[in-house]
Amino acid sequence: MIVRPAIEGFFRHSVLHDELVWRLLIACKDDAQQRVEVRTSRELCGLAEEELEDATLLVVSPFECVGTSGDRPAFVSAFASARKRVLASVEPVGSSWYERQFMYPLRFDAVFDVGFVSREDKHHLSEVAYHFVFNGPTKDEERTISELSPARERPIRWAMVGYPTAQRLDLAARLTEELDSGGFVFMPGKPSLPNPDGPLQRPLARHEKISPSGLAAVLSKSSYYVWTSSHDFAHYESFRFVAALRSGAVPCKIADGDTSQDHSQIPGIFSSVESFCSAVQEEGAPSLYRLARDFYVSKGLLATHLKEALELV
Amino acid sequence: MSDARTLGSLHRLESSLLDDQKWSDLHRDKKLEDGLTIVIPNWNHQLYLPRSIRSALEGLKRLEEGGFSGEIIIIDDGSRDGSQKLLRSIQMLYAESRLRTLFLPRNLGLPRVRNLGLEMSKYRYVCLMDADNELIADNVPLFLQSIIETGAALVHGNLIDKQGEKVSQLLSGRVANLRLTDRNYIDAFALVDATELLKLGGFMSDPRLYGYEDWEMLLHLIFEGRKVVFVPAAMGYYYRNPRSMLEETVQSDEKSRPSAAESASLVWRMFAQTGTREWDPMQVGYVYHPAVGYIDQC
Repeated sequence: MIVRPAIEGFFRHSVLHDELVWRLLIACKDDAQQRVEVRTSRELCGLAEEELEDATLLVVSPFECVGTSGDRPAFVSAFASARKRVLASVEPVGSSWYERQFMYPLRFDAVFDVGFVSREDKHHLSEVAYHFVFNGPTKDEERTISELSPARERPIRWAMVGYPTAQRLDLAARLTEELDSGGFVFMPGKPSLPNPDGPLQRPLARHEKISPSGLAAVLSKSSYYVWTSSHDFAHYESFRFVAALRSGAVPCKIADGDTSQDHSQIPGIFSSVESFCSAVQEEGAPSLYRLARDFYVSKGLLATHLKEALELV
Repeated sequence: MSDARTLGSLHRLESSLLDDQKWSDLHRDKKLEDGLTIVIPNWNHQLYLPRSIRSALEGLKRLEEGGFSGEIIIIDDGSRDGSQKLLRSIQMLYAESRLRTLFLPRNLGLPRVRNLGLEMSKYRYVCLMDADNELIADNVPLFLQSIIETGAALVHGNLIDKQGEKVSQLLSGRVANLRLTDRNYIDAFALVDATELLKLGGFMSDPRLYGYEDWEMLLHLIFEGRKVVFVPAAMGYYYRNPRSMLEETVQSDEKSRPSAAESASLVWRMFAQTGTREWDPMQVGYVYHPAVGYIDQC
């Protein structure tokens, strides 16, 4: 059973968490042996003990699950009734926001770190077993990606999406000047969380984020999907990679020297703007896309990796 | 009172100038739709003019390559730094009808000069830029295409804000929504539909709004149901220099002028009382790119 935050209250809707829930769900369905259902944190509170005693919970964003459950003691009690409890995480291991997920008195049997690179060495919580789950393609994605043959020229040369940091601004400006001035750049300010204890002064505005379908539409017209991390943790944003491939764009991460060495097996990581621009000039989008696609498809389905991890719990 | 007089009394239209036969000839009632007028107001920014004008000329070239027409109007607002001499040289150098210069006998202030530019524009679509801004020429056709395709009253894009060589932030890079009633984050360096802005009376030049006229205009457009569209591409560079037009607005300490807080408070009061609460609480702005169309947000 996949448990996700109920989307209400002052907690904000997270596209990344939605995507993780969706991928876990499809992966379980791809593996015909897995029975799966998705419940919100609020719905979990209403389940009887016997409905949970044989269940393995895959909890996405426990911090928000507890906050949106509407009844913390009931949530904690239902959580404890499950046969096994697994935290499904996409946060950089070792970061404060990774560790924040263990803040509440929820005793997890294991954490599934869904990504491209195992970070077991950074996981310091000995009481919770760590399992790396490669964020491989679903069956549909594997088929779609294998059939895509991106054109050399697309109307948008490169696209960057995310909230602004000094490094990202600098990268966007350099790509505008050094690669192509027609890049797609959407970097609205990071929304601040409203004070949960204070009265809301006015209705919440949208978060100024591009929706997943909007991003797919942009990437389907873009040659390169470029990003850089918003933090210093050695972490690879596998969801960005997958979003690019699905739309026929080349995933390109600009990382500092250490991170690019750590992740050297992943195609499309560049240690500088210069090396990225050289690759664009010398190799071109179709060739770089093929490299990324071959790497991804060769790693096997997410369903396989998830099944292996579940068998270890 | 006639509409023109009413608007004049609200410090919107440049009625005093246009009463004069010499200036009224500049007024263009019928505007063409297949091109762009780039309006550059200047007041004592001689040092930065070559950069802004060069980028505007490059922009015209790109427009022509894209099958559009264009013109540049530079309005000198009574400069005393030698700008006029430079502008006359530039006018001689580019002796063509696509570049027009106008020298005002006395300083009118930025909002009134912008209104004059809107009145004078040969084309319906106008790019408003300050004398110390720099256009990214390659993207000018993209923004023109966007305003034509969306029917927006205002289209804005990312402005790369530079302090020296360092990029400090992206200005104007956010979508218009209810947060605009708290503070303005969309700059006047944008493409506007001159016909639509003039219908609403142009920029207010009430001295109490000093430096916040563009915010008032933006809220006014939205309140009147006009479309404001963000195009996620780089429109130009915004330079923060000690003498930049932005810094002069922010740091203005002339006693006759209201403080920034007073002006902001006035704009906020005007629109808090007249209907901003009726906006779509989720969103009033749009994200659009000609290659993609409208882009979904969440």
